[in-house]
Amino acid sequence: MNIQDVSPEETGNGELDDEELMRRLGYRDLGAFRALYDRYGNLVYSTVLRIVRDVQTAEDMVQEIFLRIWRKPDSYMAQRGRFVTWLTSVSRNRAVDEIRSRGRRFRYETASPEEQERELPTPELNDPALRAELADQRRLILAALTRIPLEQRQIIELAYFGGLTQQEIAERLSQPLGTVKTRVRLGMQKLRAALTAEVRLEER
Amino acid sequence: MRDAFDRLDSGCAETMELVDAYALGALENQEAAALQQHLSDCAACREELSKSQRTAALLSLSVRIEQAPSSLRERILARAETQKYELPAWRRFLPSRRTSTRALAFGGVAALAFAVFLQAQLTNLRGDKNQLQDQLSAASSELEQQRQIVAVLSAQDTQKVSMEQPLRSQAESVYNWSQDNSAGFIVCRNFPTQAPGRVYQVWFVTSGLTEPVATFVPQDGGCQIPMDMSRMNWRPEGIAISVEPQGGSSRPTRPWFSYAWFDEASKAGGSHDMRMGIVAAAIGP
Repeated sequence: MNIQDVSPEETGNGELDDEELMRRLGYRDLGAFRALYDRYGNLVYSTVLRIVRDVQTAEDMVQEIFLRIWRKPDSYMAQRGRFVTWLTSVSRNRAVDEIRSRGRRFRYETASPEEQERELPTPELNDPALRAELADQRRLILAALTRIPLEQRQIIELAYFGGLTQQEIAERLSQPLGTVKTRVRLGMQKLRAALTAEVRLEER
Repeated sequence: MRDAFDRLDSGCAETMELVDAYALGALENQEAAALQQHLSDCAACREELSKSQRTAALLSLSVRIEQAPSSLRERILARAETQKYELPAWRRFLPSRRTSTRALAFGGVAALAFAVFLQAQLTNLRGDKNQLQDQLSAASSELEQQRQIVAVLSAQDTQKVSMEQPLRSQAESVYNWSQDNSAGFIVCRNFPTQAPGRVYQVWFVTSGLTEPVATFVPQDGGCQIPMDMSRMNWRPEGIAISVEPQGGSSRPTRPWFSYAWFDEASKAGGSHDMRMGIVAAAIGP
């Protein structure tokens, strides 16, 4: 088999869905890889930056994440869910591993609720960097997040983006552990309810 | 530990309370271990967790979108380009520093030769397409397995550990893995043939927590088992093999046939303790 390196424009890669692009990575199709990066590079970068809060570390990590996908495209299994959420989960986990390896103090310093509050973009914000379908979904998620009580949202974000355990969150916020647990549960239930349709999209 | 297990085994209600925190990665290790133990036996709770995980995964889409520098794009694409035309797998092994990879390299050669042979057959023969198709797909899955193994061995961070055989048999097994690739594989030899209806099963383990990975039947006593770790939501501290009924078990029912801890530091407690601990974990509470 002889696979030529052609640009996404020539192959029409821009029109292909993520799963097909991933399949082409198995054939070392650089055009498909480029198309995937152009589609999700900013999202992965933003996710990682949100967690590690350092531009240089974030860049290194984005490079590592994408090159790992290039070397090992079969680490994504299409039947287990959508590519984009797999990719962002992998990115989040990798970034949280990084800050955890730096120790508890680092996470305490970087995951302040005040910053979290400032950082939530408004749902109306139009993001030309995201494809229309993803931008719609993002609006729904932001809307759902703004509807749940701030104290629940902060705890969810401290866990997901701050890499803190419930116990650590309780210490960080000087709240009883029981309160933190209840807020995690309530907040996630509300999110799930608000995002039922989106969650179903993830099923295969 | 005991308390945590007992509490969870008493029912699903408490587990349901914890799945959201687990999906967010917010449980302490011990809580996560207990939860995992319950999940391995409870389909309803697994479904609940799966919904929660899908919700958590959507959270990443809420981040403020920043523009990644264009220099980063160029760097990544340039790196990918240099990794594009790779040497055939077997050639990369010629200057290998790792002696244990030699056997695998020849496995790769055999698979490649087989594929070439089939290609030749395809051009020579026009008929019997279905049979050739079957052979080709068998060859490509074999090649795929080799490719995964090659990817692990050629990673910058490949690590290797010889697995211990508590039963002091002639059996040998080695686990190679790459954190970067989230992948690993076991190679084994001299594994005794088990009675009909019994297979070997591979597990990822920590103390008190086991995750089934794969089952296999050795061929001529040997095996090569690639493993994907990219979806693991806890970090295994070791790997183990037990003998289980056909189809595998959700948790180990027999003491380890062979095992290894990944981290030298975990061995600091002494190999005797490690062995006792891990066998206890295998047999279960």
